[in-house]
Amino acid sequence: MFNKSLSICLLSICLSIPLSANSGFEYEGINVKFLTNQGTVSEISVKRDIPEECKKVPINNSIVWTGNYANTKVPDACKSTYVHTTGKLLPMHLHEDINTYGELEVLAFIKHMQSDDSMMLIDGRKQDWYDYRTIPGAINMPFHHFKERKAFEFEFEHELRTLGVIINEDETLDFSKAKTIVIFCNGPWCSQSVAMIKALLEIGYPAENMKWYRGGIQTWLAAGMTSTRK
Amino acid sequence: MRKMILPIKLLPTYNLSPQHARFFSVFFPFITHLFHTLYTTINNDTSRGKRMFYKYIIISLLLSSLLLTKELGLENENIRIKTIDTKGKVVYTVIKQDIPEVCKKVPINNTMLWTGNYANVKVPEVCKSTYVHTVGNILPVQLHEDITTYGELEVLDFMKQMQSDDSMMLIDACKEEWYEYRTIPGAINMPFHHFKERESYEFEFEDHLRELGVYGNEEDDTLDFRKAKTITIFCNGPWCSLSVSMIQALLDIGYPPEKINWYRGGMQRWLEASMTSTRK
Repeated sequence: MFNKSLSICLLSICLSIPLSANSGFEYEGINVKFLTNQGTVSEISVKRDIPEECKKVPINNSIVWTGNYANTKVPDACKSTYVHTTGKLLPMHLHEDINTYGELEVLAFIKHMQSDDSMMLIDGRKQDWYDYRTIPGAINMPFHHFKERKAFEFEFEHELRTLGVIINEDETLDFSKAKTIVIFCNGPWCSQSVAMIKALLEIGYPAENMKWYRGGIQTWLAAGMTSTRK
Repeated sequence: MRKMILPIKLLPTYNLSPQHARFFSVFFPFITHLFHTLYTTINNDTSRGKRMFYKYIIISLLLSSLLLTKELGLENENIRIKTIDTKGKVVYTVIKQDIPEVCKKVPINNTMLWTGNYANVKVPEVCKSTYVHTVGNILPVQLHEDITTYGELEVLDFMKQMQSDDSMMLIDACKEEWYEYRTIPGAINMPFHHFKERESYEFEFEDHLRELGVYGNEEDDTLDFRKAKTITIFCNGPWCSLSVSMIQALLDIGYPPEKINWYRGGMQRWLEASMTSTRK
């Protein structure tokens, strides 16, 4: 049901792209509630932010691809810099039943998530990374709690409950109410989300309930999207 | 064509590319044989204490050989790509992920990766790059159910197979000046507007169709796609819709979607992954 509405939604976006510049739900913004470090609930509008001055930047070779790529003349507000030498490149698909998401699919998911408790956006990185900068509305479940679940028994069980997994008295797991989740980490070269997905598959989490945002924080920011840090 | 879905069960700590698997299948019998020979010799000839010592060495060697293979992904394999330069001369380029030594020492933490305009000023210039993040429109991951979306590794695998398979083609859909300036080595230029506005670019369009292995039936003016090539199309980035309008036009004329792959990431993702391009 969700997948169908999502694909219709994306198809209509795709068709409307040639017609309209800067329209679409990534510009309108989606109001997202999230917990701050102080434990209070805050609301933020998640959208693609394109400052006025950036709309005037001409798009040509010397602006986009010179030297270290973006031209020095491009205002700082319109460009960003990434470490391109870390991690290991990851394939596009991890598992035939796990959909790989892009920015628009993540946004559509965040939008649905606001009124559907069975959906959850998960940041698979360690807590200090999550606290520093993440996608608004994401919940932190550090990958090592899953990968090294013997050593993090308490955290692991707590997170399973958050995911809607019922732990039976005989220690077996009931996934009938398992949430639909989107997992991400630092970038398309970051394997923490992969390690978490692998651990979830091992314990029997239904693959159809997992989505992977391969692009992660880097690709999110490279699209000019809202994050929890200014 | 081989599908690039990697079974996650095969992933060790990081990802296991088909190259790892190939490496193991080729060298593993050899390595185990070597260790077996060593092991039996030691068992026969030496005292118990020495035997234990050698056993530990063998085990640690085995383990470290497993760790070493981690570097051997498709992106580190130095794939030689045949290209034709503007003068029509054949040139070979080696495609790989280029990670300077100095970058291997950059610590990976919040302040290095995500401060201010993201990469820290302390990160050496060669390890980072800057992108305009306010252009274009973000595109969905999937364009059509029969068109496979490719990432960097899938493109690399495609390019590798393309070297010995004439029915495969990597296509840069940008206009010619963009293609000339910087592209993925081995890519052929087919500007999107020749397809989108095919009425006005009749000559170029027909020329491209022939290159794509599409022939016209003389009697009824229809197109024959039986020999159509398997193509991977890209443009400037995941926000660049030139490749999308080219794909749209190809679908309109009846090009089989199974023979089209889309590298959504385009030039930007390619460079963000530190991969070889045609300009230094």
